[in-house]
Amino acid sequence: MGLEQLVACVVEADMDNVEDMIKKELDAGTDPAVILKDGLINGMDVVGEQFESGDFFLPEMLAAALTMKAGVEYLKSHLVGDSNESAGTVIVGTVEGDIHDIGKNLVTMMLEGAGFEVYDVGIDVATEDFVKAVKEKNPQILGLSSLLTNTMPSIKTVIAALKEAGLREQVKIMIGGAPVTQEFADDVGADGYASDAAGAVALARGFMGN
Amino acid sequence: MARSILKVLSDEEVQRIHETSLKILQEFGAKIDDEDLRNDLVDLGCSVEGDRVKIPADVVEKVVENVKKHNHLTFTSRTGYTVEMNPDTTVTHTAGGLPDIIDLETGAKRRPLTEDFIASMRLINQLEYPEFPCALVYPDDVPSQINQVKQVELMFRYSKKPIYSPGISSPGEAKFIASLFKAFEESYKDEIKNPMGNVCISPESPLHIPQVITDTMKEIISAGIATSILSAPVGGMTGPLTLAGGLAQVNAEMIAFATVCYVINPETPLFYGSRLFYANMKTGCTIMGLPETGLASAAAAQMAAYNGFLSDVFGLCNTSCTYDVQSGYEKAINGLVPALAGASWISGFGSMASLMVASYEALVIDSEIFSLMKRVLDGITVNDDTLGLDVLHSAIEGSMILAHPHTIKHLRSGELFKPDLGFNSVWSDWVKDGSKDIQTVARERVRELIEKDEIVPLPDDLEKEVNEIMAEATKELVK
Ligand code: B12
Repeated sequence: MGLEQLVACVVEADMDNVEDMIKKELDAGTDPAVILKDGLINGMDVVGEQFESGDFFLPEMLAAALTMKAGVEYLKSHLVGDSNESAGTVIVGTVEGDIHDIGKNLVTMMLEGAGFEVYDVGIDVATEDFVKAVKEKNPQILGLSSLLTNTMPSIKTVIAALKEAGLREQVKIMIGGAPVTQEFADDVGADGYASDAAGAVALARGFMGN
Repeated sequence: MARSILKVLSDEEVQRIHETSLKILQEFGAKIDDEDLRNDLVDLGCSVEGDRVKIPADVVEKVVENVKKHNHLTFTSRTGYTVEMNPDTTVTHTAGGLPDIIDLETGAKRRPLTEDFIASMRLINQLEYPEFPCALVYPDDVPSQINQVKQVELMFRYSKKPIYSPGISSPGEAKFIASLFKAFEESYKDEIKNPMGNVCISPESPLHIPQVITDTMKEIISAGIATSILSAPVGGMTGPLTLAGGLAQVNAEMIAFATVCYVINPETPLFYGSRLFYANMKTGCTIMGLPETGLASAAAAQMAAYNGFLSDVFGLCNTSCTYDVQSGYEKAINGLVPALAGASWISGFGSMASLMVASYEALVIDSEIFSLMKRVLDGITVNDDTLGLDVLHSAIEGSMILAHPHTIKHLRSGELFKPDLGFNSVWSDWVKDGSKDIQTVARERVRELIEKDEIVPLPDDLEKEVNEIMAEATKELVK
């Protein structure tokens, strides 16, 4: 019944009504965990299918993700236990010397949309700052973006520094940016490469065993 | 106004977009990190809110009036090749900073080296178009901290055409690039009174001029080096998806940048370097072969002309990763549309794969593509002689048109295009010539042309000075 409406609400990115709709469900006595799973998450799954099959583009995908996020935020206080656990923690940043951030921001938004907790450490990030962030946030995944052939070597430097700090084994590293290739990723010993933000999400899910 | 044959925007639309830009500048303003510059802008009549500088219409008017004073320029290379630029001219330059190149021998994509950089300059010397080389590739064997200084050095050394320098975003490198300009222009000052090239600097979209960029401007704009302002919003990501909105934003970013230049050095010539472009909205990756690339470039040329700037726009850009029909139609549409709209500078030569890959063959093919466009731009001359009444009359009287002096005269003066590279006969001839496609023909030409190019050494004192500048740059920047 009503949950179909909530699914549609996410699919259509109807941000204005998502809270109301969840409230109605709660008032009607629907289990918050069911609202989350069969309503919000199911809505995102539909969006995912539409994206794969060709009807939806990035803007629709992101708008739906933002709607779902707002819904989850509202629902949070009603959820018990770990049913709102994030899909995983990711640190994302653009390497030293490089200020290109459009792609990295896109990766961040798409990961957030997929339920990951993402710490965006910004642009022109020094190697030691990546190491520090990994130490502090203890993420499962580190995403490095580089748009310049000049700054691509920094990816290698970061990986080496993580090894040195004894942190390499605890974090999966994925890399991307227009001039980056799978070959380069293999070369520098990254765990994954994706050519776009949707690919970054697929990689991250894979790392988490999903 | 530029000699525009095509208007993709009506005069009213141009005006409306410009009025929107004025609103953007007045109400949103531009974020400028440098506090001293913000204060200088207040002295000029702007207002400041936090780090945003709001630019009122009267200041815009002053800035634009000043820009107009510098829109007739002549560039001359150290070997004397001269290019005039003014609101009635259209000239061309290569793409710049491409991360990879197609190896001429193997056909494989690989990182370019210094030798590729030099070979591309020598090839461009021998081609009719473009009139300006840019730093086509990023040599991978040069330290990153001085890569762009090296690019400018190599361009000055090997180009026989005036140079279109890369986009610079580091004040450290900018300083040495300005020194190179000075060294070359001083060394030839008795023979050559004109500038030998330009550089490019990019603001950030939307409407932000970061500290490193204003620091770079202080080196370049103060030195009076002609500068292309490369404003590059990605539609739907760092600017509105709609072309009209993107154009209003680009126009506002140009004016904001020009306003900062005005307080640094009002004598520096500026180009309206619109780089408005779009992405594949499924993947987010930017693609340059969309027809919107050409359409936005044409509209930007109109916006530039409206404000008295010379324009500098995308052109022979494509998404295709090979030498196929897609490559040809993308380049033709995206080059011809802005050219017809009166763009002053058309870019993209030598590129493929959305400005990610350079190619020697593409340089040769693009020269040919532009030759065709040039013929279209030259248009149709209508006068008593070209109307050809006499020749028609004599044909009716029984004489032969083919051998008529009128035919010979106009054939010689270039009424009909004669391809230099492209195939122009019939199937049987094509088979007889080896059934070659354009890439094969172009590849043979590349080798011939590079071989033909003779390197002109630098005068001894300049050689010494350049080496000193490069040594100093290495010492200061390479850690
Ligand atoms: C926009 C742009 C700029 C803007 C950047 C604005 C910003 N805030 O980011 C500005 C104008 C400031 C700029 C500056 C420069 N740029 Co620039 N820029 C571009 C351009 C045109 C598009 C990049 C972009 O944002 N695309 C859209 C986004 C969405 O795509 P993306 O970043 O590739 O991300 C996608 C994938 O790569 C992937 N991805 C990205 N990150 C990650 C991370 C992970 C973990 C994963 C899995 C995936 C992933 O997902 C995204 C898609 O879904 C490219 C050309 C191109 N074809 O890419 C040149 C380009 C990258 N720039 C280039 C250059 C040279 C520069 C400058 C040095 C010169 C200049 N123009 O001033 C400076 C560099 C300054 C610096 N120190 O970093 C060159 C690089 C050359 C080289 N050899 O490496 C390019 C290729 C253009 C060219 N041919 O000259 N640039």
